[in-house]
Parts: sequence; structure tokens; C-alpha cells
Amino acid sequence: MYDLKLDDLHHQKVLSRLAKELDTARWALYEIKRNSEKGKIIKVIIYLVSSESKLDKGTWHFDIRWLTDQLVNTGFDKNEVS
Amino acid sequence: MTGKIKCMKDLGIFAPLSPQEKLKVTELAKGISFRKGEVIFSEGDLADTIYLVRSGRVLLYKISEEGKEISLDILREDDIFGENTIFEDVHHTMNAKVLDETFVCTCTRDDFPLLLQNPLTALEIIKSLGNKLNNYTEQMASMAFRDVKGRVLDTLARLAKEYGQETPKGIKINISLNHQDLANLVNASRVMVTNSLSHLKQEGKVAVYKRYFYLLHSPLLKKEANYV
Repeated sequence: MYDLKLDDLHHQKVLSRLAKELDTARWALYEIKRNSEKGKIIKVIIYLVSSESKLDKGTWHFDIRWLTDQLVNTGFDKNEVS
Repeated sequence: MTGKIKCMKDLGIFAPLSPQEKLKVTELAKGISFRKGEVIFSEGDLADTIYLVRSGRVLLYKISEEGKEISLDILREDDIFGENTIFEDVHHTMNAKVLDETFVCTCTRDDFPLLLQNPLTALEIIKSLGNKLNNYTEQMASMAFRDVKGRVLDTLARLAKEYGQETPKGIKINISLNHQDLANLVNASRVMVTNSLSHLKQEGKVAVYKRYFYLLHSPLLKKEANYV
């Protein structure tokens, strides 16, 4: 039904990616909760990504240049946004 | 050995295994008890162990530069943490301490791949961590979009999903939680959380009986809070 060895490696890869994303998510949650500059940027990014239709449904890529411009126009420091 | 068998075999992630497979898995386990308030690991410690909560509750948190404790997650029975152990030469990026008397099962980094050899177990672990990631995403979205009252309601709804028990009064959130605990979870002051709870009680969405929170049955509540 399946190749146990291949599945084993595949599961490890999935777990590695999940562990990295969990670490990133916890970091983002920490920055938001302590109300740091990074946390404020993250909240605005979440809002913009959710409310603006800048997502390419074919590639699932987001227009980063547009996002950066929006954040800088909001008043965030460009270096901090980068 | 008996203690080890009881530890691993009762964990949800090993439910799909046969008794013989569970026996193999128990040889990888080490059970540890922690008293309330004890620290399991601190930020900066070498990450070489994966933990599975057998009973009790574990708080994951960071200390800010101002010395404030920032809560990130409360883990309960069947939750996994220390998953960054799968990478070599990493250190913990947060702290973990127990909130109640807690029993955890541990597995070293070297033995962890052996747990993954059974695809059903691997999938259960992936599912558990995937749900955790969804949980964090929902929390961040709540903080980006909702005011304090909304975040309190979202947090109670999320806790009801994890710890909820259906009762005639409503859904009992079956963990001990005070206003400060809730304030730490929603990232607001205790005073604001107390005010928000007052409003929610007046609106008939939340109640407190014998120090436990209840989400009251309300069609409006189901629509407003992000739970089914």
C-alpha cells in the first residue's frame, strides 16, 4: 500500500516544516502580545492580507512590494518593515 | 516498566497502535512528575527532549525585556511540546512550567524517529501540531481584528472547544482559570478583562458558577464566537 521508508522521510519533512512554522507563530504571538513595533506590524499585515485582494490565487503569493508600501505609508519605519 | 506502559499506552497519539506496538513504544518513554509551579525547561536550554503531556497543564511563556511574563499557550493532556527537538543543536525559544501537578512522558531526540516509524503515530503527531498552528493563527487574527471583549469571547470559545463539557447550564470550561489567567491569554489588563466579562454576563453570553466559566447556549453566540 505504501513504502514505509519513503513515508518515514516524508513525515519527518512535514514535521520539520511544522516545527519551524510553530516556532514562527509563537514568536509572532509573543511580539503581538508585548505590543512591540514588530507586533504592531504583524497585526497590520494580518489585517491587510485578510482584507485586501492582493493574493494571487494561482501561486498563492502575496504582493510583498504593495504590502511594504502600505506599511510604510501607515507610518512604520521602513527598516523595521524590511 | 508498568509505569512506563501506563504512561505511553494511554496517550491519544498511540491509540491506533496494536498492544505489541505500544509495548515497543513504551521502551522509548520516560515519565516525569512535576509539582505545581515547577519549570520544565527555560529559554536558552538545549532542546533535546520531546514532551507529551499525560496529565495536568503546562504553560509556555516568554519573559519580555521589561520582565513581564507573556503567556503563549496552555498545554493539556495529549499535547506535545519541545517539537523543535527534531532539529540538531537548537535551544528552547521559550519557557515551560506546570500550572498544576503534571505528569509528562519524554522521548529523546535520538529515539523520536523510532516513534515516527509507525505512519499512524506520525500522522497523529502531525495532526496535533497542525491543530496547534491553526490555534495560534486564530489567536493572532483575533488580536488583529477584535477588541478586548471580542478577544475574551474568542478565547473562552477556544477553551470551550478544548476543555468544554456540555451541561444544562451551557458549556462548562473545565479548567481552573482566574481573571489574570484570562488577561494573560487575551493580552489585556485584568481590569479590562473583568469589565468585559461583566458586559458578557449582562448580555447573557457567559456565566460563572463555582469558579468555572460557562458559555451559555445562544444562537447569537455561535455566530459571534468562532466555534461550532
